[in-house]
Amino acid sequence: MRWIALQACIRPDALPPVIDAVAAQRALACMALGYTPRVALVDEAVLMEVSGSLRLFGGLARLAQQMAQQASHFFEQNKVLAHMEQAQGATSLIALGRLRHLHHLRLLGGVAEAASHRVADLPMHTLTAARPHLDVLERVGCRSWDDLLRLPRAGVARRFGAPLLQALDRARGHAPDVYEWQVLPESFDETLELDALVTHAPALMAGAQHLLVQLQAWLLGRQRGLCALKLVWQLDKRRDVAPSGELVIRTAQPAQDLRHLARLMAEQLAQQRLPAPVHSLRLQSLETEALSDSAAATDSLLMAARQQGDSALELIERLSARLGVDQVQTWQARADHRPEQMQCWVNARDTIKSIASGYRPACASAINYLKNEARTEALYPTWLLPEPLQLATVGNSPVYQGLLVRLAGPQRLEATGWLLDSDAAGQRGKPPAIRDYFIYRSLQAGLLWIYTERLVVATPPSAPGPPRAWYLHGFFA
Amino acid sequence: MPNLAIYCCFVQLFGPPDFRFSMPAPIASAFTRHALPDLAHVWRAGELGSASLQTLDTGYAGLNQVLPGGGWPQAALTEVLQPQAGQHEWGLLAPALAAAQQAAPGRLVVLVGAPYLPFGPALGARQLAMQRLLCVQGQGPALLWAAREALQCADVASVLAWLPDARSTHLRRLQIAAHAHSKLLFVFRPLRAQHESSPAPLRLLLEGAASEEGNLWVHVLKRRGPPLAAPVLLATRPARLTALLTASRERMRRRREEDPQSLPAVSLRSSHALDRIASLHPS
Repeated sequence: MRWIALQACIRPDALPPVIDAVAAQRALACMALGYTPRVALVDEAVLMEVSGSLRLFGGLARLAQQMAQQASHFFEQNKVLAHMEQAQGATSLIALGRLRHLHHLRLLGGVAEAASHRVADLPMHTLTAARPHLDVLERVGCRSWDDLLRLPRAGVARRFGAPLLQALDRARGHAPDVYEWQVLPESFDETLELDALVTHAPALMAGAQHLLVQLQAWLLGRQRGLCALKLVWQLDKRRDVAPSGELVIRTAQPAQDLRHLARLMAEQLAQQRLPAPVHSLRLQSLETEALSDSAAATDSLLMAARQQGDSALELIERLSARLGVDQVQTWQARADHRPEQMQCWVNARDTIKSIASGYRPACASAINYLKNEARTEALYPTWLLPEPLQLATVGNSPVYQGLLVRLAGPQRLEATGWLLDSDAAGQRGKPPAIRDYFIYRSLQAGLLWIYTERLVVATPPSAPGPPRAWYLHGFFA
Repeated sequence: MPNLAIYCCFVQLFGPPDFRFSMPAPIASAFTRHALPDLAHVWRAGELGSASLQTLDTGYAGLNQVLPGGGWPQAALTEVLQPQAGQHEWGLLAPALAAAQQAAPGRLVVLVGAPYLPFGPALGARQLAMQRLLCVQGQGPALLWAAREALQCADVASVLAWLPDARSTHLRRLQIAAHAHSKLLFVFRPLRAQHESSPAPLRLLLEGAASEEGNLWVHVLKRRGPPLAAPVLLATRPARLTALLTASRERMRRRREEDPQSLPAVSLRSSHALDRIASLHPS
């Protein structure tokens, strides 16, 4: 049996830390559950039994090193001034005793080398069961575990009670080490009572940050990435408003590093208005995805492998969060011959998966197609007006920022038949029409793409129809 | 003349001042040759900017010749002034953007505050990959924020921003971001910004032209080098469109020769243009 004892030491001189010692201990326990299912919380430390996972992680030294790296990375990411101390031993109490001894030596300012410390020399205060009797033990000359073992068992049991002897037996491996193992819930759901009533939505972020740290530790333990989470705030019940409000935040790429999600949450909270003060927060994980390789999901520790700046997905999600979903758009082609239907600009959030999957360079046939297309489609304008702009007319010709000269045209385009039937009802009930496109030149605005529209239901040629309407539809930039 | 040499180093360190450097070029270079040996990282104000700049081919030989380093500066702000937004952007930039996209196919081109909708088929014909275009709309300060966010993103290759109301301090922040993250950045502004100071190392002014050789005059307002006396004329339209326009002009001319009465010469500047244009439309 190999046991590792862990403890998070939060530096006392720091500002009020994001998480306190109890939360840090729980976070460490969550992370430890990523390595072995046998994890227990004992006093101030986390005990884990690793003999079953040594082969998977490549030995005790590798496992301990990996845990230390993960913990320091975790603390650094969450801006917690803390470090993790660890010690190991053949039984849980030896590991714990070494950890406490190490901690004690550190506090005294000495150089600690606990791993090589003999079990028999561990001082009495490192044993929890001996703590009520420390004074007496000191006076009878029992300073180390060895001293106590030399005393007669019956006398020790009479003087100090059975628990001390039982603890010594467990420490020496004569009695079984049994703990109640920690279990991570299937989905994360934590509630936090706020220290004070919060009336301003962005101020909720401080409380949410506590919960996010816990959530990240939970994700590390379950080796999963987060796709969606829900933040619920409970409002003061004395006001006549709905009892709670909530916010759902989604991301396209499952993440263990929650800094991006925290930024999205801050953007969303900045736009919220609270109808009443908030007294508690609740954070739930809605969707998670298993990460095949947790090392690949978290940031690499090598500087070269780290990307400078954030990814396109994070950019799109952040822009959408602040500016609004409809303000960030990507392009989609459509099979239609009417210019305004040839393309559509859609929310980037909806197409984010295809962006994430990366750009597939066009195959050979597509390139040929593109070259053929290049010859005809070069005649289209590069800017299109979202809505055609009706132009004033002078005589029978259009005017836009002064007089125009016709350079080319007409190019006739019919929007009749089945194409129009499909969406005629939706599109403001426009009647079928024929468009003649012209290229005009303006002195101020360059080349313009202008069309004139006629109804299909033609007026008899003898009767003079109404003057034609001219529309500006694009610019050749 | 050690003073001049010091000045040159100063200019190299802090970027060129906005006023025109008035020393005649041959004299300046003669002085500096004496004072300074040929150092790769010293830029002499009388010559065009250093070749150590990382640049991107503009796709137009005439323009490459007058730009420092022979192309668009890769990690700097390029300010483009034009009378109206949406006039010459794609003609000027499409070749360079297409080349940049081919070099790094996965990276995005971000348009911030575009005046109209970019039309995919026409831009596709100019070899731009439309799937990698991201359009961001917004108001005022939000656009500046979006442009900076885009510059800081690792998956973005270039940013095109239309910022009519941006001030010099805003542009300075964008310039710093573009420099730090080595991004192509073009900012389009109206003509009234011409007399404001600008942190951009390269400032251009665009003007439409209607000659046979080209359709765009490019004035270089500011660059690392002596001021450019004459603007550069570029033909930025696709070949197919140019051919169409030439053909219809020929047709018009031939018809005019055959029957000079019915189709008088049309010019925008003529005072009687109004009724002449009307006569062009027989319907």
